[in-house]
Amino acid sequence: MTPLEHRYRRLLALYPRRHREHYEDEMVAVLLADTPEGHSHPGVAATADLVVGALRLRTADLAGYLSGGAGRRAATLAALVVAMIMTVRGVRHASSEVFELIHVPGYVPTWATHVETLVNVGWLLVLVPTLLGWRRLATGLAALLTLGLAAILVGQYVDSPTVAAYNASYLILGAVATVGLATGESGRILARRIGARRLMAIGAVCTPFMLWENRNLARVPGQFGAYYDFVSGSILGWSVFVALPVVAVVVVPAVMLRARVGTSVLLRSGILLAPALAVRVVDVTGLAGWNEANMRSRHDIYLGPVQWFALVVAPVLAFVLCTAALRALDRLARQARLGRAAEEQLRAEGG
Amino acid sequence: MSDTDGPPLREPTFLILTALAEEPQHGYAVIQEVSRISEGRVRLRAGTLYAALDRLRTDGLIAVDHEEVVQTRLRRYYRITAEGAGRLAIEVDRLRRHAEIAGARLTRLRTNLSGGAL
Repeated sequence: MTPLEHRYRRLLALYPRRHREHYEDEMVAVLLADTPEGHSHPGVAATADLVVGALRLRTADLAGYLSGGAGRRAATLAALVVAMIMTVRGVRHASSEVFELIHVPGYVPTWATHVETLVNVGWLLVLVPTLLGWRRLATGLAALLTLGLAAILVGQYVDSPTVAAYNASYLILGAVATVGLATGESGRILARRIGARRLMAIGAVCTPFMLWENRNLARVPGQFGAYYDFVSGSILGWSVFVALPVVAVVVVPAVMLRARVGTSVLLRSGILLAPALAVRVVDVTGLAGWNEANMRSRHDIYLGPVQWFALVVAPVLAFVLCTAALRALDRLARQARLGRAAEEQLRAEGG
Repeated sequence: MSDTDGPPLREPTFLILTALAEEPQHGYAVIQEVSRISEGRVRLRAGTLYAALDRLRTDGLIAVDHEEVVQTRLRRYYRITAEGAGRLAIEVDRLRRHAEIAGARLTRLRTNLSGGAL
């Protein structure tokens, strides 16, 4: 193999395996024939063409993988989970606002606070049309609320960068819900198919999330000490703030009819939710020092290029890695099925 | 265009089908033929060519005709299928209709322009 051929094959390694199996040797022959005499490196145009071609094929592969029947159902399931999480978050936000209005003397919420409350509580309005199968309305509302959240985060970043970074995962969740509702199947059909066990699984996703949220709130001593004391120091406080999300998580799925959602659907919806989780992981691990520094500093410290890079790359990487893992799992399962079928056939022939 | 015609073919796809309408050809020959048909304007590269060939094969518009090994290199020849020929004919018809309309309007415009100039 000449160095030039080796370099071309390295570029072709970017292509999906299926494409390489069919076309790699042929493409190498064409690439070599198309390279001017005496050149030992692929030209810039040929390299760009191969890289863009590989990206296009991989994107199309991924879209095909996620847009099949299971993919569409997973998109709706992810949207449903997000709508529930956001609803729970909205209820918590609104209840804390009400609590502060009642218990904190002199507390006057700004118009921005009202908008934020509205954007958070608005997810309840996404949940209802989603379950009723009114997809366009649900998609439109989800898009509107996600854009609203984006605007709030931009404002928050200026005043309080750590809060904005902490809430970044919700922005991704909002985008996932919007895309899921736009491309998925009817929420009503999904609601019909979901069974009790799966509802519990969905609940299991949402409840720890809320406990986490409440724990953080309860732990941070702040301006509104009474509120935090109430949440963290009394059973009633915990009951209210834990019961609300639990009720939302349990009651909403309870309206769904008995049916089944396949494992592949659940796993695919996990892929769609993974980017938001990745951002949260970056926030609590990679940005922990930055958070701490901000709390101790008198001035706001903004994110540096590496931190921005981590926040952007982590969700993409999580999505790509989870997809690759799931596809490998699918391949293994298919091979196992084929093996079992062959064994049964051999046994039948032997018998 | 009727509903069954499908969307218009993109230029590289149209040129690849046109190249294969002559005779079965291997990848590099398709690149050269497309360049010749387009008078050097369209220069396909391997990545673009094989993405298009893969799509056309999946859609049943082309098929592998035969394979051979030349100087230890695999050479696969592609041919246009009956479905591909039908799709190309629809596209040719569409382009011809558009060209005729454009030609007629251009003639009228020139007449008007020359009349106005007088």
